Amino acid sequence: MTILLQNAVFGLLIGGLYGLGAVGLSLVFGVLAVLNVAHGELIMLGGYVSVWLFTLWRVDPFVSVLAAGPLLFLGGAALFRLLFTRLASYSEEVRIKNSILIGFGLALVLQTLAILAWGADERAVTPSYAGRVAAIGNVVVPLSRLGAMALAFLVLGGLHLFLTRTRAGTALRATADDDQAATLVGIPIGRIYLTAFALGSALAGVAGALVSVSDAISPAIGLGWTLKALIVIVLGGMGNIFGTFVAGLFLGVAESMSGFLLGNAYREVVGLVMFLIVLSVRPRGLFSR
Amino acid sequence: MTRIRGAAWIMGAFVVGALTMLPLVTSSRSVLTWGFLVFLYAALAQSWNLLGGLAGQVSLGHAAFFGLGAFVTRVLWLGGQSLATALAAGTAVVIAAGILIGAPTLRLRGPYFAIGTLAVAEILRITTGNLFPEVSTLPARSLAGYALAPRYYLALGAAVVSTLVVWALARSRFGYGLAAVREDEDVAEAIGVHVFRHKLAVFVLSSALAGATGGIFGYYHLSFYPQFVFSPLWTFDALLITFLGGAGTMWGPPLGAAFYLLFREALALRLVEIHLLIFGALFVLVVLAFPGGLIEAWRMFASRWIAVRERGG
Amino acid sequence: MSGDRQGLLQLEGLTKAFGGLLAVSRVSFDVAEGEILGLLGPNGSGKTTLLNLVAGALRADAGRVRLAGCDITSLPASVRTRLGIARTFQLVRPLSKLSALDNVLVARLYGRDAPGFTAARRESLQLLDVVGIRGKADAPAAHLTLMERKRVEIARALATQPRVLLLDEPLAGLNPTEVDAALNIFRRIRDSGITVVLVEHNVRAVRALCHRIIVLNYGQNVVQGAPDDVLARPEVIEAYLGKASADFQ
Repeated sequence: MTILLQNAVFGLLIGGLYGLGAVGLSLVFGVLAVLNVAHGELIMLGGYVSVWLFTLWRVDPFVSVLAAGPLLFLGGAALFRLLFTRLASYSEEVRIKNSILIGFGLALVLQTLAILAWGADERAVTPSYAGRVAAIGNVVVPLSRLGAMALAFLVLGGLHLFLTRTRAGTALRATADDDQAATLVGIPIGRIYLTAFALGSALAGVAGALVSVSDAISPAIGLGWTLKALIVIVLGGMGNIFGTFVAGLFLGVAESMSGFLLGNAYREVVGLVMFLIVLSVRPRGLFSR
Repeated sequence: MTRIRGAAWIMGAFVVGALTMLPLVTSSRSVLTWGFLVFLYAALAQSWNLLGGLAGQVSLGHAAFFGLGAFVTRVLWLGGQSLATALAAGTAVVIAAGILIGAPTLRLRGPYFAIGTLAVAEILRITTGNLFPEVSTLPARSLAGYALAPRYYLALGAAVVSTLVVWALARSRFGYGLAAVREDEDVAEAIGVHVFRHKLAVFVLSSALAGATGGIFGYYHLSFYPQFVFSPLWTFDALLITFLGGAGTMWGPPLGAAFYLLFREALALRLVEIHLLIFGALFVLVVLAFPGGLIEAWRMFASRWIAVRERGG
Repeated sequence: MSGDRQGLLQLEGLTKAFGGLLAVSRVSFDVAEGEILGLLGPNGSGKTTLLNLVAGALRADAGRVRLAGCDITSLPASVRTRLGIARTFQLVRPLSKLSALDNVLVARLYGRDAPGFTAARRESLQLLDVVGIRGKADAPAAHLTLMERKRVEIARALATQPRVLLLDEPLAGLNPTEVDAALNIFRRIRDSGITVVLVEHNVRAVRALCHRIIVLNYGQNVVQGAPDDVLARPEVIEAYLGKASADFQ
């Protein structure tokens, strides 16, 4: 019993990061109808920001979030200008198809760049509090993971406030709802697209930095994170931040439980199978755009 | 235009003839290996081209079928079956998998087909890695008798057959139906094309060709981890070569494959990873700027050249 | 059960809801062989939904569709096409990367009584002639003007050799000269004996072409009758035509 509970706790803790990792992708897809399958590579880059800040100047990974977010925001803006602006003129179907192809190529470029620059090895951040735990009864809670989850929750809450309480956020939501109507009411759609993509990338950067708190970073982790983000989006509903967070927690617990019951090697498979089941019941996903 | 087509056919026949003679002329390992790889990649890309280029269904799970074909064929062959039996059984398994995987995923619309196929391929890759973690190496008796020429001919055959399949399909009623499906599924259905059946048929055909190609790879490669043949890189290579050469065209994939391997070999001499970087960037560039690929560029060049000549003479 | 004096196309209690919205509600009527039936109604009255139900692009929640006495309610669109129901789309939808000829050819290859390749090609060229666009046979559909694309779309629908042709606002977006050209094409279709269901806002066209008119409102069949009678009824003018009433003096 305790061991089940322990696994559930681990699942919840990692699940918070799954939600954060997915929300940027969901935002970009919702607003631009661009499916950036290189999203996981952006998370990987965020992780490397934290790894390097720690290696060079011993910067705490929680502090590195403040660098990873803005850096990836700028990087995302540059990528959007370079690769995705041209897609805006296409119909939605063509846009999605081409963005998948471009993202596929981009993922390979970013992954290879990371290997060339930093080597293929795993790198980890080792702050002084790594490995410290709080015990609740027989259940152990690693403090660094708890902190990462709390921060993920805060960031998602902040995003929610931004989208609902600010002018820019409202414009983003309006564009996601109907980009033609948004143009008609005078929303500068080009700038909204740029902002959404940059913001989505920044969220990936923040997620990456938080991942580095408790997990090793390597150039190869991108695809896995992209898939997790897609699973979470399909489970949690599009453009629904709360749903995304809950779906992330759900995926985390499901993975950790199945890892315990079926063997750790099958953790990844469970999410993918759930994803396929949901899709075959609802071919357009649980969310419909 | 007909003149260019005729010339391309004669050239194609000449090239295939010359390639058939190659193992008789040279026994150089590097030449034959290079030829083998070009054919292998051409066949793999051509099989993706059928599905993605002709029918417009962007699958990101192609590696699943290549891997399954490679794995099953190799296990049976190393288990003592004749190569023909192993290849046939491998392809049969892939056809069954194509039906099982295609039927649900082809009902997905928009991005979900691409993601769904990717998910299936990843499930297969991870599961294979878990169940068969041991490296698969040719036993000593096979190594002693290992000859490149039969592998070379098999791959050449796969490349030629898959290219002919694309050629025949593009001219058939079925091929016209696929073009309608690619352009607009609702319209296709409205003019009498049963969209789902067309998609499933081409999906299975494409999978079978990928599986047979995988089987040839399983017969060729000395030593690999079973997980390796399911790597998403196989999918990426197929897409890259198809788009490089020209998606939906008959000569695109073979041309793209030759180009790809020339560059890969040239670059790999210097640095192992850098070719991936360059090809990733090239792929993005092609998708963004030259959706027609090399073939389209060649056609434009050729038709201009003819126009100039006709004006001159 | 198929009596010979029944309509070629029979709709019986067709109903379709989207979420809570009832788009088509228990619509019943027959269309006789060779008849040109006009379907009128304000925007949102369910005309296009009704065409989609007949063509098979949507499945009805209730009711039946019969073609020549055969129940086709549960058949997919492609099978209905091969049985003889063709349609055009409200916003023209050419197969963009295919040439005008190939657009028609693929429909001929898959339509009713499809012939072999050579005959299909010859017949497709003839159809391009009928709609007056033979000269653009090799042009990619994406490069054609709106009127040219409409011509291709009509030729494509005819290529399936329909017994019933469903036209969804085929005149929308055309200027008066183009409308006249299109009307000439429709007269030829009518004279060839194909049964037509025409959804159209252009009252002049409806009056010129149709034998009978049915007016839909709120997804229900409100009025039907000969064009002049129906178009003169005050509730029709009010419910549907309103501002356009000047149009038909």
